[in-house]
Amino acid sequence: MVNSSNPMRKKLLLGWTVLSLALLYTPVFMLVFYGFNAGQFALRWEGFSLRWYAAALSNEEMILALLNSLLIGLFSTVISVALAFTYCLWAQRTRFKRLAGTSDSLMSLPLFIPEIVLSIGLLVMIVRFLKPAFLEMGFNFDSLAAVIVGHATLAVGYASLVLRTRFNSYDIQQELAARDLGAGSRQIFLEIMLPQIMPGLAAAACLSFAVSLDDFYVSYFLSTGGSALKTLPLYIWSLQGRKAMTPEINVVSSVLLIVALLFFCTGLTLSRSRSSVENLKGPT
Amino acid sequence: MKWTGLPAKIWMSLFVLFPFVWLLFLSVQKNSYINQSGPYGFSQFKRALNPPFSGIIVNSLVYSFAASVCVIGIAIPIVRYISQLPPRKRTLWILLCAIPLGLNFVVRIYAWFVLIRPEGLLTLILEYLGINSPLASTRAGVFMSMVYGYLPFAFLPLYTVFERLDPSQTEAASDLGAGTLQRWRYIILPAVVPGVVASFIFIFVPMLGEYLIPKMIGGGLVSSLGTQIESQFLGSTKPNWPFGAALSLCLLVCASAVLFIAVKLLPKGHSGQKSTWSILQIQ
Repeated sequence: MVNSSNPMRKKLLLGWTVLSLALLYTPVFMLVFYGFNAGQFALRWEGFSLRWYAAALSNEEMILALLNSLLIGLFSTVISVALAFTYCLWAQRTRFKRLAGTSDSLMSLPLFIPEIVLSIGLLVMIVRFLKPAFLEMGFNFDSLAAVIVGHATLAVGYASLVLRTRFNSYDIQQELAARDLGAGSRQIFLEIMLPQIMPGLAAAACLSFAVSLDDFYVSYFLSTGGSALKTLPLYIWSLQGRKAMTPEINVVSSVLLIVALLFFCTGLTLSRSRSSVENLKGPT
Repeated sequence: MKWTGLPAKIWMSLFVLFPFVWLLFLSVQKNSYINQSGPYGFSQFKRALNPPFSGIIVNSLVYSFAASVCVIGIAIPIVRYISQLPPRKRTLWILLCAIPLGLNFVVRIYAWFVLIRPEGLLTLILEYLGINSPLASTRAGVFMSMVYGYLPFAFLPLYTVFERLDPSQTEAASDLGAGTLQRWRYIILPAVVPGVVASFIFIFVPMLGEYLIPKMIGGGLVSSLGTQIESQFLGSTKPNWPFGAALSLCLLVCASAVLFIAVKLLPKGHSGQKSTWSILQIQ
């Protein structure tokens, strides 16, 4: 290699890489570190303590935000994976390949339009149409339902992309053979399709959950600026705006970081079945 | 199996496509109420495309463009370095680059905000170096935060193209007497353009509508397209949905125009356009 034969150049590149990555990670590490601060203020270090972790655990607002986030994540994941799965089932088998191509772009639309526009579209749609329609039927379509719908819409794009690649390597011969041998649809679904698709389903579910946990815009707009309902990111957002900040915000942030990273990494590991990096992907 | 695609398609049409139609309808209303229909006209667009709003739109475009260029400029040497490492080290480093994508965006920006506040570490370091300018609540601070926030998004699309570079080509070039500049100009750049365009699209489009960073870092003093749209829809003083819809459509048009130009700039004949799409699809 030409460039690596020049040690000076290599050192410069390494220095640049280390510096940039350090700059990327340092703020986050410091944030987590200051969560163990003993003092009153978020920004002045006064010794190690778990005081704010204890405070956060007994803080109802924070627990509620965490539960909201998990609940919304769970429901939106179920919806988005179900939609993506049924969609891929159709897209893989349909005779109308061109139609499948167009619908593929429809499904991945949320990945390409600015999130703020998507959120506003959802806001208008829900306030103007869904809410009145549900009220007429006697249901109250509240912010929780709205955010679930919004997150599901956002996550379907990611889920269907992951599942589509998984379905591409699906071995349909096994299914045909099973049918020849007299297996019913149910048996084929449970014993042929599910085992093959399972890793893709799990990856799609993890990524959907990560997308939902990570989302700020959709929750922000559909809960009218976080006043109607707080997810964990919205709770951090509201703490950040206050005058007097305690290390509590660091604790809440650390909790969110860890939960989200867990789902993100699991989703990545499960979805990168073929090459090491080709399937690495993140919620944008 | 014929009908199983329907629920997803209906869902997406209902929650993604139809809202656009409705935004279009909303934006041609002259009055500022959501439930009133008519009288119709383009007054909202006229307002959006005249000062002060035209200035905000242009500002957002220029700043997002500059920030995207910065992000890609910072990321390219890193990715180039990683792609030249032996395979095992490569995986480790690229993982290190990818992990920030899994860290919550709000948390990451807040963590950065702590550093650039008046008593923050970065401000102190800059003061020590003799640069005495406040970062929070300024355009410069918002710009830096944009670069910080979006840097992780550039790594993977760039890495996919840099990984595919064939070292024997640059070797042959330098054997024939090509300098660094010539190697980049004739061998490396043409091969990596699809990845650069893909990462540009990834970064520029969300940046253009960014609300969180200007709001948090700018503290209400820096206005962008995103903060304007937000205040038209959720603002406590005089929300104006039709005007917000017009602004959103302007944002969408700008984003699509830049996307279109970026794709057009790709080398023709050469499979540039196709590979950009495939990179976009993979990510």
